[in-house]
Amino acid sequence: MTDTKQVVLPVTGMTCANCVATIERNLKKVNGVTTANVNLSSERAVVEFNPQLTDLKSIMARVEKAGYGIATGQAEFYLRDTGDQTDLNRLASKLKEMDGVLDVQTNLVTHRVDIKYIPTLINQSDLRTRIYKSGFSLLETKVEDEDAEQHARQREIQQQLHYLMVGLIFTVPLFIFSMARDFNLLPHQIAHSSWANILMGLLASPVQFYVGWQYYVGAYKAIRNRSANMDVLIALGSSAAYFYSIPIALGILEGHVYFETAAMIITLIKVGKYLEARAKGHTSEAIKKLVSLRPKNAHVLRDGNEIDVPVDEVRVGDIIFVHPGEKIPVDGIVIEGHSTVDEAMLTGESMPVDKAIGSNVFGATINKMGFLKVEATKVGKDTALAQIIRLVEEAQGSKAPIQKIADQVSAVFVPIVILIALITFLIWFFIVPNFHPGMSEILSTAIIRMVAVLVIACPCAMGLATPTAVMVGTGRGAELGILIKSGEALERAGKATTIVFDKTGTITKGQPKVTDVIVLNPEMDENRILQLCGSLEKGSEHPLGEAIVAEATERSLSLINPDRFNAIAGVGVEGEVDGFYIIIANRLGVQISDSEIHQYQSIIDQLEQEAKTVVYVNINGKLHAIFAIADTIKPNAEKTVTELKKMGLKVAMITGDNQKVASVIANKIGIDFVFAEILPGEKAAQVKALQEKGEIVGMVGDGVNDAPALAQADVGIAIGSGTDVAIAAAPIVLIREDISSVVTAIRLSRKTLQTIKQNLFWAFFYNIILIPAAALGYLNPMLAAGAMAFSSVFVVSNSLRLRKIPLN
Amino acid sequence: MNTVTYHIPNISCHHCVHTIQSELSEVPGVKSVEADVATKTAKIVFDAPADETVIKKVLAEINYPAAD
Repeated sequence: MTDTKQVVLPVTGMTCANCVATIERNLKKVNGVTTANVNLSSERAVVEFNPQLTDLKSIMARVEKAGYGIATGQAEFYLRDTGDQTDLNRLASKLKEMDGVLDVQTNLVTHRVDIKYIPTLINQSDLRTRIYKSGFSLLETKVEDEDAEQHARQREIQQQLHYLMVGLIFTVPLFIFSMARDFNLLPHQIAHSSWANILMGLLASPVQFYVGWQYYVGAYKAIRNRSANMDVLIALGSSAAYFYSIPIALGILEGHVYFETAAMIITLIKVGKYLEARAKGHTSEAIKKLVSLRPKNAHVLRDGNEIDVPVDEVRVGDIIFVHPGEKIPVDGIVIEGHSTVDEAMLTGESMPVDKAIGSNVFGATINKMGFLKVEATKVGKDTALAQIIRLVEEAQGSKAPIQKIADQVSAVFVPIVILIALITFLIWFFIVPNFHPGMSEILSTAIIRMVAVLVIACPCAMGLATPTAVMVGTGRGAELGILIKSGEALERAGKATTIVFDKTGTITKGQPKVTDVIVLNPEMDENRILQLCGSLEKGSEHPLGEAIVAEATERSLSLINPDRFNAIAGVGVEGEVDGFYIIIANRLGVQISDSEIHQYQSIIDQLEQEAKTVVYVNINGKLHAIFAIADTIKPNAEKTVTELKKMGLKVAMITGDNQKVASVIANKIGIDFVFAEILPGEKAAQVKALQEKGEIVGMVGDGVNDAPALAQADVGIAIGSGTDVAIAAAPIVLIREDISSVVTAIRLSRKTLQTIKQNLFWAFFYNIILIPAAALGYLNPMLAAGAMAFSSVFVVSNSLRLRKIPLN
Repeated sequence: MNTVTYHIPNISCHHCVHTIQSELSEVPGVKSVEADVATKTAKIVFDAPADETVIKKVLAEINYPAAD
């Protein structure tokens, strides 16, 4: 068979004709690809391949490896009702079968289905059709409408409440009547009249078929798709009790009716569902808070006038006025005015940030003091806030690997429970010694114990254990400026054993700074020397030169243009400023005799001991000063390392710098393991070496330069990306520059993982203990229904604790 | 250890840099490749079995011939 398949892929990132050739060459290297044609202007790649030798995934991977991207579409749907985790898994696998669907995330809690797809291969209506065919219905929403989830949630709560009320109206009298009769509180003629049982049946019927109808529908859908879910258990359990009672009520069979049991099962589970729906609402509170931050209006300059427009109508390039106390409507750059801006809502940083001309500002942050004129640079979906919301939503829909256990168990759980229930029935009916007075007693005992087994088994607690915790955990993270992009990242960060920090830009500021100025000649004072040196270095692009300019500027020294400037690579600079001939260089280039420099050897040694770079200043042939320049350590570095070590983590530092500089910095802040002189390309290999020793590595870096190492690590943490969250190629992004966020991120991940484990333990343990209890007859079916309802509520509430748990 | 710097006029964007780096790194013996958009140059550090002929051949193959 030589069947070939053709796909059209939308390629992104092509800028020139060379790109076309590169992609084509790369594609043809894939075994199985027969032809590849790339078009620069339409940004399409037409690829023909043999599906037996390769697949879409490898083709896409190749394009990505070549440095380009495949444009993917992101569709989000809201399901009208989700059933349980088994149903959702079935839906996901149906969708994944489709060509062009790359990834499907379903969320039991938000009812959301996120589908990543290739728009040239499949479109949203295909996806929609497939969802309907799989037995689900959708809430029709505009893709952009982020309130849809809230409406859906509100509707769910309303609906559950309605069913619950109807259930209560019939069940409460039924229950009272039944109990009163069992305890002989009713007059004999009522309790034993022929119509008493019929009355109970009449009260139970609306509960069974109106309130409980959903369970029948759910059960039918599940069975039709050859799976079984919680609905099946409830429908079976309550139906067994209900239908067994009918012949008794009609006088065909002898015995006791169990209408109240059937009604109580349904109503109690509704109580649980209602509480659960309400509690689930809180799990997405963090996101709601973010969404509610979106500004509504903007004052925009149009035709020379300041007019108010809805924020959706602001275009890139618009000039926006922001008065003191107002929200900045979109992302932009300050073109006039200065102020301080509260960015806590995005970064979690409570200190307001100074803004002046040229500063970037972000939508939804609050202008505290001055008037600002801002040019819009990002609007709509591109703003930092919109990106953060999207990332958090995606994370909340993603699965943590630990959930696989729950998924595997729940897939076989329901059939096994039905089997156990049947065995229970058979044993109580046939095997248990017959000491009951009548046949009907034996039958009812057997049926009621079977019903108890059916309703005590609760797969929904298992299904909710992980996603609720992931939702609350990631939401809490977002509030603190910690973006955790997936459940997997959360789990891995919680399990990390070693944290590796990149040095430059992560532990240190990454900008060399003049730390010492030692004046050696009384002819000139410190500031005059800095002024001259700063002036000379004005045009320098060397980091050391920039440090000198920065120091001079910081001291508000006015810089003059040098008359002559010459950079000597690897040595320093020389030139003329204000009539002075100046050399700023290392020892080799400074043109001062060794014997003169020797006088200051102890100072120089001391500075070098501190891993500072020593720079010599020769003015008119005389040594005038020594500058010591070093990268400075970020404020919270030491505290962060101490905290991490206290949490039982090993802390390491990786750097391209030499051993001496590295160990000085490591010693200063208490890092035990140092990997120095590691070339940028080798950082990933170093991380891998640690992993081979069995460490679970969290790598902290700047997210751009350290991307390969971050990707190699079990969990990459990009720090200080600011609000440009999307570009950072790491599963965890710390918006704040503050390194201590690492501690918070790890703590949050650990707590979340712990919560997931508690939830799973509770869900499993509960079933393992209570199913046998029910089978042995120690549990009344009504109690069983109550206990089952409680287990889900417990799991959701336990996850909600993460909202408040202390992390400092 | 040998170092050569070639002028490569075809370099026009960062993708070109990426392509040159990734393709040349696959050549046995090549230790490091640094290409630069601004100067349109690539600095290659290599050892045997790589040599200038092989490197130039690869560059020509991927449509980034070195200028003489």
